[in-house]
Amino acid sequence: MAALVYAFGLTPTLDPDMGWHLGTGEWILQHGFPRTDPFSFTVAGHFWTAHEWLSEVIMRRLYGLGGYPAMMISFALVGVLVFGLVYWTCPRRPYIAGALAFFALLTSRFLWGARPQIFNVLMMAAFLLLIQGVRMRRFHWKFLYTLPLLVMIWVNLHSGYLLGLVVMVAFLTGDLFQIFVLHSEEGTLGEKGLAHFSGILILCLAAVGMNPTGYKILLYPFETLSSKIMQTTILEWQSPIFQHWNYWPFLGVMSLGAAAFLLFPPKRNIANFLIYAGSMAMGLFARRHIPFFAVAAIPMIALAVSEGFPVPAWVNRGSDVALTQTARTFRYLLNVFFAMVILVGVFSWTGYRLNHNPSAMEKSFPVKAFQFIKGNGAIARLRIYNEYVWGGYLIWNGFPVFMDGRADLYGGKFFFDYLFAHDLRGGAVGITRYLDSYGVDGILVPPGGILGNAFLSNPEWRLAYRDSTAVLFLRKVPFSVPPVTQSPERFYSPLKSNNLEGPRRPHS
Amino acid sequence: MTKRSILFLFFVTVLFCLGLVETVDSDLWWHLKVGESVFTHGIPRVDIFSFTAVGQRFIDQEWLSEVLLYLMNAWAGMPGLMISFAFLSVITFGCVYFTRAGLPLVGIPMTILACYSSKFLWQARPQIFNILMLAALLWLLQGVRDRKRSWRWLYVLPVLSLFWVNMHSGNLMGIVVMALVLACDAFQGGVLHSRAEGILRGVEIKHFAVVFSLSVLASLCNPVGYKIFVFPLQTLSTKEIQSFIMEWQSHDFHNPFAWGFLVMLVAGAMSLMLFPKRLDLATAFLYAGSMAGALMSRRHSPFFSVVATPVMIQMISSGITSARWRAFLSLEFSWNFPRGVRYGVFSLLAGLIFVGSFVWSQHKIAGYHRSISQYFPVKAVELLKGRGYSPKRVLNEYAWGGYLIWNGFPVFIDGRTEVYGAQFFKDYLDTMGSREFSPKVRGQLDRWGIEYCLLNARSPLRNALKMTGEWQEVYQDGLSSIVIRKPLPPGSAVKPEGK
Repeated sequence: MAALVYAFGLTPTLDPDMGWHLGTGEWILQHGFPRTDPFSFTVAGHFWTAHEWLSEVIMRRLYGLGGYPAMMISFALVGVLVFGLVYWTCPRRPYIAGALAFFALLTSRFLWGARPQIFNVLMMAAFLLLIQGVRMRRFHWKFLYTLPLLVMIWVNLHSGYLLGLVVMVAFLTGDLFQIFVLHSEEGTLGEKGLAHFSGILILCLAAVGMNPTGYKILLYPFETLSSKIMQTTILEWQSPIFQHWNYWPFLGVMSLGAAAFLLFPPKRNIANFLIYAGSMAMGLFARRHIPFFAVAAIPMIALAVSEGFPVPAWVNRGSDVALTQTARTFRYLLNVFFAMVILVGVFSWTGYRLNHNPSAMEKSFPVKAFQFIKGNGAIARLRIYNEYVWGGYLIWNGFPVFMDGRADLYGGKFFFDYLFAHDLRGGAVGITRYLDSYGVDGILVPPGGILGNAFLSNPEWRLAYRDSTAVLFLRKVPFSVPPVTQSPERFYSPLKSNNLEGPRRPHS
Repeated sequence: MTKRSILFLFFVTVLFCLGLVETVDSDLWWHLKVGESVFTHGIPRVDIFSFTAVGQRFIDQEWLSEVLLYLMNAWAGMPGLMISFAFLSVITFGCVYFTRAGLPLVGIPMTILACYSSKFLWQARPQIFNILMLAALLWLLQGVRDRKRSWRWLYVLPVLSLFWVNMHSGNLMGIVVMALVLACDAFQGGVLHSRAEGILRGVEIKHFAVVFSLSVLASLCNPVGYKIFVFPLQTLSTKEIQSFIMEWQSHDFHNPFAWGFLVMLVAGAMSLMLFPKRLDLATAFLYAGSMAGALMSRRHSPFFSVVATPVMIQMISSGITSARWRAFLSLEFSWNFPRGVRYGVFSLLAGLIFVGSFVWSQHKIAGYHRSISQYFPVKAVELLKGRGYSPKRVLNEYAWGGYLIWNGFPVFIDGRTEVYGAQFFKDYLDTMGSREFSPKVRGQLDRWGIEYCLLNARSPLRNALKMTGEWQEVYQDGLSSIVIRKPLPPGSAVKPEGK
């Protein structure tokens, strides 16, 4: 199971934000916690909350240990840990719990990668294991006192710590209602546990302040959640489109949950309902929340299913049957053989995935285009308008960006204008004015896109570089530095002598 | 007059008012035209409304609905259509309410929620007959499964299928539901020997097998025979339809239109987890399947409401065990008011309900003209008709094809996507989405000999055409824009105006 989870979690490092996370990690290690934006030329110096600083330092350290392969392997192992915790939270291990925990992985897989959001899923799984473990009397209530420590770590890993607090409030409210209104303690924290849990919740709130921005972090998640432009334009904040196979496992878990609860009715538990329905609604609102539903719902579904199916006799028969020495030896050898097969499989798969990562990155990021920019000192000094999803890659390569995935930093107005210009909604005139206003001399966008096509016929711009991933257009007469007069022969450079008239400012 | 009758009057009125919506469905218009054609010339076999697919095979799978729509419109106009579909809302959700046993004060709010969550799709359109038929099917079938009525009632189902298949190809859903119930009940009763309540057993299951076979045979009694079963599958498997037509897409839960459905999902989870009760295999499959269908396509979410609401009502009602609460929720309590006061209050309430529903109906009916002008290019079409442009070749917005057909224009495209085919639809979308006058766009316009375009004022193509020297915008009114090919046709009377 662990090998399978690892194999599914071993994904290429294609998250568009990974670059700026690494860049921020690097910055923190060198200069300390940033208070303002150090990476863009459009909002440089603006106030910025690096709410994921600890994740970013961890990612940078991992990169330092072994580059992208180390990050891929580490986050695959985090996957093993997360779904191990889910498995451990489920009753009826190993079969039903194993199958359903794997289903949870399939549900979350589309979002898996080297990114701080994964720590949210990990922390959520740890929270649920601890709290549900105490509610199911598998752990002593004293274990709950680890929660403030988890919150302290979580708040520095990601602002998604708020989810942990919300989950705690849901458990507290649900169990209070169940104990004092419905007069049922079964499957709750119990009166004594609840008293401690209330105190622990206060300690957790106190622990939230232990981060570089203090209690301001309490407001940060709401800025993102209330930003209409982020919610409507950033893909992973949108509702899942169930016609895409990425979301079929989510659909499957919801359908399985409904069928399981109808056929094997669970015991009434208010808190479980709040967590189940709340995480389902969150997943339906924004696809990035789907893993939370998987982590929260699967143990509840496993509980229902396990109560519906009595343990078949054959499951435990193996330990009862007296085996001969030969049979035992054979079984031992067979197990060793299977373990070897699994290990070989894991190593082969790891090698295969690691080998293919660079080519996958080349297809997703402007790797060669950036090498071209770097190789031309004059171009490297220009202000270049970049595709939103490439900002992170450019930051990690030390290039000041027009925009990147830190949409909260840029603000709704900037983001809206960016998209307006990007989609040519203001026409050719609109984009020209927009680029002029930021003194942009180059644009780095995918070929065949709206901008990529529009600038091919723009007489004030020239195509300086093109490959299958990116095109670079340069202003024939740049704002900032003299135009490039030479470029390597292998690159397309339509620069003609009639453009060598020196720099000019279009509005001067 | 009792509190129960007042409550039911209120319930029926709410269902009626929720179902009374402005008729702005873009397909309504071509349904009316097809209905007229069926009524006057018989069922069309080929397309007669477009100039791009004229003569191509057209499976009119909704002919009976279209005739009914046409006759109602001819008899009482748009207000008549609106009111009749509001009554269909009452019948449909009345069936939903009575499908399974439950406490009135649980069932009524849940049914109103179900109706509200389906409201975004409620229009004068054949699809509504699918929802009605499914509700009727489940009401009949579940009544027999719960021993509320004799198994003889099952023999109504083939008649229902006969009507349904001629109203909409969604009849296939009814066949699937019957097959699922038959298989699950046979398995649960015959193989698992389950003692669960609410399943068909023994003689009932045998009769249901016969009824199912008769229903399949009845479904073949339609103008295209067995091909009617293939039609929905073609629609479901056409990627372009599924991807680009809004109502086939998944719900966007950021949009308030989807919140009713979200509340239904949460209410479902609440019923299942807080009022647990073991139900039968068929119910579990129907619930989970209809939920999955609704999540895949927003168009299917009323089916989830129809299937899941009775289940929720039953679970919540049976999960409430307190005698005092049960008495309250079933209205079995007495008010210690003098009889005269009680009657006075009830009469006043009844009067208020009647007046309220009348005022609401007047308000909605008065607003339909405005709604039509908001959604359809009424002024542009009047102008074009007045200037003799109706026979010319137009590139029109997809959602306006029906309106143009109703006004006698041969169209480029309309809501009958299956007539045009996937490739045509894809090319059309590429052309309409183009922000530049590319050779591909030019090729499309030339290929079909387009003489003018009737576009949405916010269409990217409008800007692209205006930027070329070959096309000229001659009219725009904030909703629509008319762009004609230059040079202006000799003798053309259309002059720039409205700018």
